[in-house]
Amino acid sequence: MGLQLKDISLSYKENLVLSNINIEFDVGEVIGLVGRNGSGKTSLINIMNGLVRPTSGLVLYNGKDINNISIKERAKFISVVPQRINFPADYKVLDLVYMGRNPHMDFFHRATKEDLNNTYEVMKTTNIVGLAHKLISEISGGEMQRVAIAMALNQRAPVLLLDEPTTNLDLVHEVLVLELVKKLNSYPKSCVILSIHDLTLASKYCDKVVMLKNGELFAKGNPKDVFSKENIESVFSTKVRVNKDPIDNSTLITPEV
Amino acid sequence: MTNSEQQIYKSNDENYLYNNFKINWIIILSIILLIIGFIAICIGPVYIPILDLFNIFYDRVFANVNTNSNFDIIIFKIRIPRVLLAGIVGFALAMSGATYQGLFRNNLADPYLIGVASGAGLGATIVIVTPIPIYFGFINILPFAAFLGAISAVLLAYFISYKSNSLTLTTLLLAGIAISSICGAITALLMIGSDPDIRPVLNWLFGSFSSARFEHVALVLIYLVPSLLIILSFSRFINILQLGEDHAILLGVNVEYVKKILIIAASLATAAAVSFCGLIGFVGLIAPHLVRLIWGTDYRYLIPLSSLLGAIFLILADMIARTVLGSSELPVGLVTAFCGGPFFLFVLRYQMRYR
Repeated sequence: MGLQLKDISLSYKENLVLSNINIEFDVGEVIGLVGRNGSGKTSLINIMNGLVRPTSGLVLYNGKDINNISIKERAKFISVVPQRINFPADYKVLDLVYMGRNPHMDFFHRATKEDLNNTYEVMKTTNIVGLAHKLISEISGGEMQRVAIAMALNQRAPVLLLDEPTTNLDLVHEVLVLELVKKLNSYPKSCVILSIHDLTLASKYCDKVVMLKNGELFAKGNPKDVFSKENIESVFSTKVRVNKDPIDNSTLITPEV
Repeated sequence: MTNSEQQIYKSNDENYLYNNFKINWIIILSIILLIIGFIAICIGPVYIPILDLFNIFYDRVFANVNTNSNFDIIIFKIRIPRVLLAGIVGFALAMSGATYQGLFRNNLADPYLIGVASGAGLGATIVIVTPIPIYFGFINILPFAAFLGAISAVLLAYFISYKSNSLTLTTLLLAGIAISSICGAITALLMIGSDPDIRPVLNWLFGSFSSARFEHVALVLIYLVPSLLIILSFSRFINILQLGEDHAILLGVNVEYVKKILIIAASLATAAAVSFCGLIGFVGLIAPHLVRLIWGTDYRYLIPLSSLLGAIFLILADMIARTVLGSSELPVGLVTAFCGGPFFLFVLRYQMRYR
């Protein structure tokens, strides 16, 4: 059992942002959320992490409603890499990664061996050990994204949500981050959910994709099945060519210009 | 990277995370504070040689002999309460300033930001200007009026910006500014409408430690000590808050609770501090800024270090205030502005050049 969304609807005043979303996310999978800008991806992620309460419906983790437990408890099993992070410029990378341990600390906490080992471990996983004592202002955008992922990993939560982790990254860092994400679903046996715009990369790296259209669940399942010409053209209202990658059989999507 | 290299990184990091409270600097600043405190007790219109000071101290505290000499009276009735109060007020103002700066995520925040100062000013002015007697029996009600004014102003700003279980800091700040200007206007109106002699009000508005007594020190401490403990134990959360409120929630911080507690603690400490000595500007801004410049931004040490620095700064400022004009005295708020202002400008320029 993993994260379960039950009849989720969200509306701001008169605007229906999400309607009747029912999805179950299993542990050990990388799930991609795709859809147009404004289709409700970020809203859905914010509902899953508890920042936004759904107008109706429930978010259950192992049968427990995530809006009915304390903020600290929730952070123990749901970790998030937000879309944009306001990194304070004069903190060291190590300080920030260490902040990820917060949900596991009691009130008068001093670092325990476990905290230190975990912090070191996630920095190794995200390959930022060498940056530990650099200031945030001294590192690049791609490195910042890895720091953000390390912070979230340090929570050791079984659910990891990433809101467009590859936006604003170049090809190299896009691939680096996605390789890392791919590795994570087996890391502490976890369920990784990310929203992503690049459909080709999504089909390469995600085990399952969820397609949203105007706040409704349009399709879900294996990327090979979901990313059909008809589905993509319907969701994105753009003519596309859909091909198979000759090497790994993933789906290649190019706009028809 | 080889394994041995990683091992080195790891042990360094552990050291860093374990010892990142700058405890040695806290001790060094405490010692400096103590030394400056003693010097400040000696210096004044009447100079007391430091050896005499120690002798009298020894007699009174350990041998329990009360010599009742002139020095004895000056030391215990005037100088010690005065230096203690200056130190404690500086400590409280710098602590609140650092806390507000962390909460509002803005290095320009100072302890008077959300209305404490103008509320206290209004409270004090009402007592001084209107026919309300300043002395109620033997008790001077001026500090209590100032305290009440400060707390009312903050509470008003607080409730205006509190909606459906959440406190919006931007609204709090704006409400604080609006309330400040309203209180300021009423204060001015009262001063204009009163008898021509408004010097007591001006004196209060610029701050002075000339009437310091042990009871004042004790009363301020009643508010300062719990506030300090709360703020220190919440300082880890202030660090996390620098990422923004939403991200802090995602990292498991109960942001609403932390904001509420910290605002209450810092405002109470500030209100208590200003109610006995008047409005002393600049300490709450300059001390945290200097600490940030020298040591960095981690609030776990920024708050204790800037508090100590604030205490040192205000003891020195008060020392200058009571010596520079010979027999008469300058308001200490003027000294902090005169010395602190140019110094702060120098620091800003220096910082620009070496960034």
